[in-house]
Amino acid sequence: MKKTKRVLSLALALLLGAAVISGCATKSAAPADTTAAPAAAAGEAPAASQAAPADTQAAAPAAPEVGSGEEPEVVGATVEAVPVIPGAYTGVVRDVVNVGISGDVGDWNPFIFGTPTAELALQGMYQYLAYNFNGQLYPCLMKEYSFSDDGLTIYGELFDYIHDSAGNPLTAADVAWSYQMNVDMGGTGIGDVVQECVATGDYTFEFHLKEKLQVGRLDKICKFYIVTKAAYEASKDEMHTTPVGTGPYKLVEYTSGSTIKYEATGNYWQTDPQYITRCDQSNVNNINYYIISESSQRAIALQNGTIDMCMEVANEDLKTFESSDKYRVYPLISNYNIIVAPNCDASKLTADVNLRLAICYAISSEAILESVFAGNGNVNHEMSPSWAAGYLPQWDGEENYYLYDPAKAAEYLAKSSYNGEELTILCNTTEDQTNTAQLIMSFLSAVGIKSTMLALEDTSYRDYLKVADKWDIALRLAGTNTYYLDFIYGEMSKAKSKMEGTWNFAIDDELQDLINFTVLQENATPENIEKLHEYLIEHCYQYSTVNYMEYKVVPEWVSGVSLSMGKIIVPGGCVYTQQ
Amino acid sequence: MQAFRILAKDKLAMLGLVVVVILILLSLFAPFITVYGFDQIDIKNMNSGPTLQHIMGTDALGRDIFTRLLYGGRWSLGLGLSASILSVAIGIVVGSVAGYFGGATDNVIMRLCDIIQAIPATMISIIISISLGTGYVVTIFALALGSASNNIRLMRGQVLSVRKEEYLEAAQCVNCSSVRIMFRHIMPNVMSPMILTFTMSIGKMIMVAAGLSVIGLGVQPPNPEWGAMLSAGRNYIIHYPHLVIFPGLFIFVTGFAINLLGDGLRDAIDPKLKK
Amino acid sequence: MGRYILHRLLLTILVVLGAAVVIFTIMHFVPGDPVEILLGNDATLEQYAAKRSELGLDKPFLIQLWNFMYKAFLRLDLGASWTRSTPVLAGMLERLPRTFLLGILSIILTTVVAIPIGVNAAIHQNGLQDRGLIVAAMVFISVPEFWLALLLIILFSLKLGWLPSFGIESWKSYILPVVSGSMASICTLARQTRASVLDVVHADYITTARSKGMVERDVIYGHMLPNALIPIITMIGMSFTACVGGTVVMEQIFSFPGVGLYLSDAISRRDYPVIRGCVVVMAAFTAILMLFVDLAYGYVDPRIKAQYISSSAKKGKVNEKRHRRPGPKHHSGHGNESQ
Repeated sequence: MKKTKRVLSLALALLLGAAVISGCATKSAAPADTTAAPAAAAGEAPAASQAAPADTQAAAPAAPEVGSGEEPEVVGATVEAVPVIPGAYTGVVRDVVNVGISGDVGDWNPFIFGTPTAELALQGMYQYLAYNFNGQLYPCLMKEYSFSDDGLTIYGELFDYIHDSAGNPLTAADVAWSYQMNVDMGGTGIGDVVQECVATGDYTFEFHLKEKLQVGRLDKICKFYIVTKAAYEASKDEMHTTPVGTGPYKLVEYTSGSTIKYEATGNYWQTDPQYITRCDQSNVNNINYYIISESSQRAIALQNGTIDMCMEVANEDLKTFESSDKYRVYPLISNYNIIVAPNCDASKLTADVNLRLAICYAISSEAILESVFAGNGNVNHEMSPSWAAGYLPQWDGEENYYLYDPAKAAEYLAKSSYNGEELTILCNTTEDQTNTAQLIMSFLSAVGIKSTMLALEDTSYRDYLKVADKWDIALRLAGTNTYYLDFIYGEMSKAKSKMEGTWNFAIDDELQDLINFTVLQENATPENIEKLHEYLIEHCYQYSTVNYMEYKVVPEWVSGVSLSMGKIIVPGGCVYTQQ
Repeated sequence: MQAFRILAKDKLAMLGLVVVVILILLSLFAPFITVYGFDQIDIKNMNSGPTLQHIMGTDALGRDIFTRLLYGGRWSLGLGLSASILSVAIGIVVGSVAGYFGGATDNVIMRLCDIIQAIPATMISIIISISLGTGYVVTIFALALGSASNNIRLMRGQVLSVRKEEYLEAAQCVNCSSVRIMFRHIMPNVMSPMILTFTMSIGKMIMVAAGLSVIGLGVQPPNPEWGAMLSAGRNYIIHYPHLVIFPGLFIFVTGFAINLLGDGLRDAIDPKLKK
Repeated sequence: MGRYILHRLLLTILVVLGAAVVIFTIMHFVPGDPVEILLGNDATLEQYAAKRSELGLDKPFLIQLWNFMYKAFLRLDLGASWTRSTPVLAGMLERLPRTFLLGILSIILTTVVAIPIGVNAAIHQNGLQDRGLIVAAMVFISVPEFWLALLLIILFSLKLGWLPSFGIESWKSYILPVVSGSMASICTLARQTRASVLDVVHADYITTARSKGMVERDVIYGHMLPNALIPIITMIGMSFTACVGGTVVMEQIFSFPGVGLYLSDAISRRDYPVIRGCVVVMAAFTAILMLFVDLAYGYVDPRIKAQYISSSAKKGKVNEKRHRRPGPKHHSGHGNESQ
C-alpha cells in the first residue's frame, strides 16, 4: 500500500508539473508595443469620382466622405488598406494563400440567405450589380444607372461582355431572373421595396419600386447575387455544392466543415482595371480556406504557420502577433454595437422611462469596452457609431448620451416605480455577451437594482427575445450598414420588427412617424436627424454602448489588405510582396 | 457494516474520502477562506497570472480564480451529486419496477431504454439543455436523463438476479405487498452496485457538464461552476493558461478522489474481487 | 441462431422507429424557429409564411410526424438539410467514415496499448508494474478529456509545432484527437484486462498448462487471454457503438468535420431533417453493431452460443444477455453467475 502511495504521489507531481510547465512557459510573450506610430490611415481614395459613372445621381445626400473616418489606425506593423479601385496590380502574384475562418459556408446556392461566413467565402465567386463602400456605389456588373423623375423606377445597364467562369454570357434577362429567384427563395429583404425587375433589352433592365427610396436603400437593391440562368440550369444540384459565378475565382474543392479551396479562373470577364474593385482582384492563384471553430486554435494555427492569415483573431491572442515582425495586425472597427435594450412592454417595470434612464446611467460603457473588449473599440455617443454616414459630428462632443453617472442613476431610480424586483438580463451565450451581462449586473447592483442573467444559445435566445414576459433587459448585437438612418430604421421601426412597436416592445406612434418621415431621402436633413436623435435620447428605448474592434492578422508579406463590403479580408485583392 | 470496516482500512479510499470532504468543506466555508466575492469584478486587474494577492490569478473580468473555484465547489459538486442521485434514483425506481414485475411492463421499459440508448447520450443531454434552456437545474436534468438508461438496465439485472431467491418466495407466501417486498427484501440486496455506480458517476457528471459548456450549453455564468470556467478559459490558453489549468486541476482532483473512494468501495462491497 | 438474428433484427427496426418518433417529438417542442434562421431577419412575413408551408411546418404535429415517418421508413428518404440543401444521407455518409476512422484508430490504440499493460500487471500482481498501472489508470481516468486535449495542443502544436491541431488535412491531424480521446479508455480497458486475467490466473487449467511445461508466454496468450477475453470484447464493442455518435466536444475542439459536429451544428440551427436523419442512422448503426458484438460472444465462447439457441425461444430476454456475462464486473457485470 505504501509503495502504491509513493508511486501515486509521484504521478500526481509529474502531472501537475507538466500542467504548470506547459502553462507558465507561455507567459514570456512581451506586451504589445502600443506606442508604435499609427500608420497613415490610407483612406478610401474616392476613385469613384472619375472611375464610377454610377454616380450620376448622388446616392445619399447625407453621405459624407467618411473614408478617413472608417479606415482605422494600425497598431504594430504597418499595413495599408487597398483602395476600392486599386487600378492595375503591381505587386507579386502569389501562388497560394491559406486563410483561417471560423465557420462553414454550408450552402453555395447564390439565392439562399447565408451566414456571415457565407458572405466571406462567396466573395470572389458571385457578384453583385454594384458595391457600396462608405455610401458610394462602385460598379460591378452594372455599368450605369439612373432614376426616373418620379423616383419610382431605376434604369440600369450592364456591361455587355460579362461571362461566368463556365463561359456563359450574362444578360439583363439573367438579372431579372436572379432577382426573381432571390425573392422566391426568400430572405434578401429587397422584396419589400422592389415591385419587380424586368429586362428591357439585352443589357438594360428596370427596377420598379413600391415606394420612393429611403436613405441607404439603393445599395441594398444592388446586394443580391447574380448568376447566369444557363449555368444554374446546367448545375446538377441547383448550385448547392457546384457554384458557378461571374467572379474571378471558382470553387475547386469543398470539404464541408473543413476546407474550401478556390482557384483563379484566369479568364475574368472584366479587363478594364478602372472598373475592377478590390473585391474582384485575383492577386493570388489559389486560396485555401480552413474552417477552425475555436478562436485559440486559429491563433495557434497562425503561429505554427498552418494558415497565413486570419480574419477573426480574438483580443486575448493579439499580443503574439503585435509583438512579432512576422505578422501584421490590421485592426478594423466592426459593424457591430452592443445594445442594451430595456423591455418597454407595458407590463414591465422597465416601461417606466425613469427606470430605463437609471439603468443606462448606471452602466459604464467605458468599463465594458475596457474589460470585455480589452479597450479595443469606441464608446458610442448615439445609437450608431460615429463613422456611419449621416451621423452628425457634434454628437461626439455632447455629454447627454447616458455618460456613466451613478448619482444621476440613483436620482432617476428614486423617481421611478422600481420595487426591488429582480430584473432578468437576456443574452446570448457568447463570451462577449455573457461578460457584458455580468458587468451590467454588477453596475446595476451598485445602484440598487437587482438583476439576474439568462444566457441562451443563439436560436433559443432569438426566440425568447420575441416574448415580452421572458426578459427585462436584453443584450443584442446590432450591425450598422453604413448609414445612420438605415441603422435607426432597422433597430426601431415597426416595419422591421414586424410587431406593433420596436423589437423591444416600445409602442410609440410618434417615434414611428418620426422615423418614417426622416428616413425619406428628401427629409434626411441634419435638422431632422437632430430631432430624431434628441427624441431617441429622451425616451431611452435602447442604449448603444460599445462599437468594438475586430482584428485581422496577415503575414508580413502582405503589404495591402483588401476588405469586402462586410469588412472581411478578400485574399484576392490583397497586395503581396512574396511569391 | 463489514463493508465499512474494510473500507475504513483502505488507505487510498480514505484518502479519496478525505479529499472529497475537504473540497466540500472548502466550498462551504469559502467566505471565510477568501476575501473576495466570487462575482467581484475588478477591471483593473484582468487576466493577471498567479500573484500573492490572487494565488491562482484572475479571469477576464478580474475575478479571483481561487475564490471562484472555492465557491465553484458548491455548484460543481452539487451538480455532480444531484445529477448522480437523480440518475441513480431513476435507475432504481424504473429498473426495479421492470425487474420485479417483468412481463409486459419489463418489455416496454426495456424497449424504451433501447430507444434512448440508440441516441448518443451527449446528444440527449444537448437536446434537453436546448429545449429547457441553459441553466443549473436544467443541466442537472440533462445529465441525469442522458445517463439514466444504463442505470435502469443495471438495476433491472440486479432485481432479476435476486427475484428467484427463496426468501422472496417466503415473503410472497406470507402475503407481503409488492411495494413492501421491493423495499424491504429486494432493495437491500441489490443496492451495492448502485452505490458504486453513484459514486463513480459524480466525477463523470462534472466532466460531461464541462463538455456541455464547450458547446455553449450547460451551466452559464455568473455561476462559478468549474466546467463552465474551464470552458470559458479555453479561448485564453495561449496567453493566460492559468484560466484553464486551475479549473481543470480542481475537476481532476475531484474526479481522482472520487475514483479512489469508488474503487475502495467496490473492494469493500465485493471482497472476493480483491485477491 | 437464425431465429435469434431475425428476432434481433426485428427489435432493431422497432428501436429505430422508436428513436425516430422520440427525436421528432422532442425537436417539435424545442424553442427556436428554423424559418427565421433560414431567412434571416430581413424577410417579409409572406416569405416566412411561404417558407413555413414549403417546409411543412404549418401542418399539425401528427401529420408532420406521419409525413416524416412515411418518407423515412417507407421510401427510405431522409430528406435534405434545410441549411445546406444537400441530402442528409449524403452528409452522413461523408462524415461517418471520418468519425469512424477516429473511433477505430482510438480503439486500435486502446487495444494495442491496454491489453499488454493489463496482462502484464496481472501476472506481476502487486509488483511494480501492477501498482504503476493502478495509479496511472486512476490518474488518467480522472483527467477531463478536453482539458487533456488543450494541454496537448499547447505542448505539441504551440510549443513544439510538431502536430496540427485541427482539421483532417493530413494523417497528422488525427494524432492529437486520437491520443487525447483514448487516454481514459486505455486506462479503463487496462484495468478491465487486469481484472479479467486475474480471474483466470489461478484457474486449474492454467496450473495444468504450466505443469505440462508450457512456455510462460504460451500459457498467457494461449490459455489465459482467450478465457479472459469476453469482458474485454464487451468493452471494445461498447467503444464501437460509442464512436458512431462521435464525441461532439472533441470534434469541436479540433474542428473535426465529423458526425458529432454535424449533428450539434444542426441542433443549434434547428435543421430538423439533419437531426432526425442523423438519429435514425445512428440508431440503426448502433443496434446493428450491438448485434455483431453479441454474435461475437457466441463466436468466442461456445457456452454463450448455446444460451442463444435455448433462450431465443424466450422472447425479450436475449437482449440482456450481454449484461449478465460471466466475468468481472466493472461496469455492469454484477450478474447472477458471479454471485
